[in-house]
Amino acid sequence: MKGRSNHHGFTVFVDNIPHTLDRFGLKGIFRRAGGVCDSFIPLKQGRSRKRYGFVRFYKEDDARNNIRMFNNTMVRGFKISVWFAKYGKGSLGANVTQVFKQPGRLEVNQKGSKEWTQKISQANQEKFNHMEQRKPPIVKGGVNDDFMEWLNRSVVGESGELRDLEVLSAVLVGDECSKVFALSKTKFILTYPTLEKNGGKFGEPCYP
Amino acid sequence: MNRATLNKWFQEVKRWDVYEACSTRRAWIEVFGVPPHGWSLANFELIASLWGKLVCLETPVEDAISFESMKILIDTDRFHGIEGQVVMHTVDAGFLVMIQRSELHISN
Repeated sequence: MKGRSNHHGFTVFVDNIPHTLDRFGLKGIFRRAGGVCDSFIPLKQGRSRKRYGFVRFYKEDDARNNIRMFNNTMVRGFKISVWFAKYGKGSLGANVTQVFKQPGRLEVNQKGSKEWTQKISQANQEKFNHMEQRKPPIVKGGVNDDFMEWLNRSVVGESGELRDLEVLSAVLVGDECSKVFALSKTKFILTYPTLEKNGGKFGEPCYP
Repeated sequence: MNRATLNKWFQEVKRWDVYEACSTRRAWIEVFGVPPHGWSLANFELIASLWGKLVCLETPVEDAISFESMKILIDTDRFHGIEGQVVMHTVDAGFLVMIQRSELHISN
């Protein structure tokens, strides 16, 4: 029992790793919180085709902090789940040593392997519970009728370069145009006192 | 205790109990993508209601000169995730509205 934590480290399990992230990238992300010793992503995918991997820490505290910090956070658009890879003889990652020695192959002792498989299916189960892709909610907005009045006697100008609203207003307002509004730094709404002056040139109003 | 005066100021008056505490906080959000014809207090209230309750707008709707974004102060009980996207339907079109947390910079 010479320093279990030094020899084996403390391993955390990371689920739903983005496909664009290799084990070095994984290590890089977790290094922000410090104390990373090693990382590993098996070639084999989880049952749900999600990628999973392991990150090993020198200290238990670091491992614990990282779980707190990264569990259920977004990494490159993927919500990752992080927890202690706690299998084998009830120790914190003691049986994962061989995994790190032979990258690309997953070998743990028989008892560990069985529990490990259970862990994975458990992981997949949990993942489905809180991982559905969210679509943006839809709200039914109303129309501002006060604005419709002047919007219907307005035109939209789009510029090839960035323009300043104040400068545009100073130049354009007064010469027929009554007010300038900004839609963006390149798109502006120019309002005219009457429809007749511009209606002919720019077609019918949007909502007559 | 003058109940009539109290009722003028409060919706409800009851005895204090140990459960009374402030459960919400104020946060500024910035909303991008609302079209000018949908630029209304009602619509901003609707968007804000997804995370909390609208307290006030940075710029009153009728004073708008730019439709790039609107900053809204909300009262919310959520600590995380006050941001996201909403599809806002008006008349016959849908607009992808983006919401992010913001700070209010007071300029003078």
